[in-house]
Amino acid sequence: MSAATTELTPVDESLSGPAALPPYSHELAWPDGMAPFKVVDDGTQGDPYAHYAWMRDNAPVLRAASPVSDVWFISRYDDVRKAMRAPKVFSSQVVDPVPLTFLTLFDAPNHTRLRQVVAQAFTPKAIARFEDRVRENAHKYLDPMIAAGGGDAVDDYAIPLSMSTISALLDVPASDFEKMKFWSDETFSYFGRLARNAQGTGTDEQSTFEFFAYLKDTMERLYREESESVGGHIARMWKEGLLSEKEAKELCAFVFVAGHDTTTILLANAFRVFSEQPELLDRIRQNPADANLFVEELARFRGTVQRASRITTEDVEVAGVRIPAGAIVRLLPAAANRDSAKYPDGETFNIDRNTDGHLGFGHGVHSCLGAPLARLETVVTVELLAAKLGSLTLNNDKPIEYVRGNNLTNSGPEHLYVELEKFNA
Amino acid sequence: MSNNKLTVIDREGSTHDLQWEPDQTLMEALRDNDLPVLASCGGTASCATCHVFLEKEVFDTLAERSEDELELLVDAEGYQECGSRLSCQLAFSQDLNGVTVTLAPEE
Repeated sequence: MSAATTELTPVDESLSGPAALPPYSHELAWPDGMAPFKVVDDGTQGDPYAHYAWMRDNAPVLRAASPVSDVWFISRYDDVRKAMRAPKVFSSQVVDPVPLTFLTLFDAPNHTRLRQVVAQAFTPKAIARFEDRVRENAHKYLDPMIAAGGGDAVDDYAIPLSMSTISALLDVPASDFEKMKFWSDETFSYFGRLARNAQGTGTDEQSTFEFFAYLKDTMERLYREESESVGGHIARMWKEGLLSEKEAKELCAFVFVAGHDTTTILLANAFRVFSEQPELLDRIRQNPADANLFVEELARFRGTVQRASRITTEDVEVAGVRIPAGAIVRLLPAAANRDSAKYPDGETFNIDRNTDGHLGFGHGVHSCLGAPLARLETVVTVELLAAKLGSLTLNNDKPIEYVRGNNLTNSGPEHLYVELEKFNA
Repeated sequence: MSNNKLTVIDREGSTHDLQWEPDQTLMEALRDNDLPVLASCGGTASCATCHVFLEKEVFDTLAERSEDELELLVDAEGYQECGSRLSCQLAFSQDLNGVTVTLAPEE
């Protein structure tokens, strides 16, 4: 028995018979005005934090019904952290055989083998080489927004910055943002449908395979050109027989999709937090090093990834609730990150708090591969917003539009309209 | 502060001589010198993909492993009670100049 398993309290069959299952989410007495938390739910996906708070207090292991199977949601910090540290009990291989070469769908040893292919490109040392380019692009996208008095922080800034950065890393042309974004979103939807019973778009499978065909052609070119990029490296692994064609193009797609969408939302949320705490513009303008504190607290407070899919390999007890072997589980890192038992006054954004141990970029063997890149893009953005802006406010006429449906894992703005005023020293 | 010298035995038994810089953990020294240390969690003692073996006489000089580190190590491939460490948890120290480190098997 593993130490991790012991800590998660495996169920002793000799002492207990089959345990009663807890009530379903829709059978619980949710507060007035709060609909029961559901597996597929456009409303709570946009802004889930009130539900998370209630779940942490009242149903830290919540069972929800879906047409396919029950899904168990875990929301307290200690429980999510323990589960993320125990991949042999909380397996990531929720679909077997694994349909797509997306790292989040694999356990060891395949996870180790495939992650090793791309890991060297995402170390802090490797990512630091991109800092000048990220900074240059950040200026390029932000300056016209300031000149125009504002705009959409997602479409005008976050998407172009995250997409140009990940494209440069992979050496995939980003000249056609619209097409790349469409393919990326469709592929994410297809993945969400396979991994999390998301509804899909009706066209996601076809679009995904178009994207893969495009990436195959791109890798052929990168191999011919002996590109030193991540894309070139994956292409060589394929041509040398260390990866299959399927693995190579899907891994390339994974890096693109994972590197683009999650960071886009985190960048947009940086704008949002500045609008809520405008005094931070002054503070970071005067102390640019505090941008690092801002970004860690942002990842804790408004991290992008909400639902990490797992399947239990044995019966396990969490927060006094017995989860059976073979159960589909969603770990909720963004709920855990606001758990006041870990972070006092957890629902408040406070850049002076100790954020150690936050789960905003995951935890354990599946920690975010691209975290150094996401941190770099967000720190550069936070520094730049503070340096250039005297004021950043939300546009009252255009409320935040949230990401909805499809991939079912990310929460945050799909459009965030802001008004910007230049800082005049 | 000057660099440490470090000898690494990889999983195929080959030996590598490296420089270990003062601002690096042992994991970073291994990873940044292109040795196959995955370090999946980035250095937060939450996975065991930077597991290494130290010689017992070196191991015995180090502070005890934290509960988090030990929890992961005892379940890791090839765990040695008096040799296994997560290399991300070992900060630079001049006392470690000249040590030999063996990469543990991958899971």
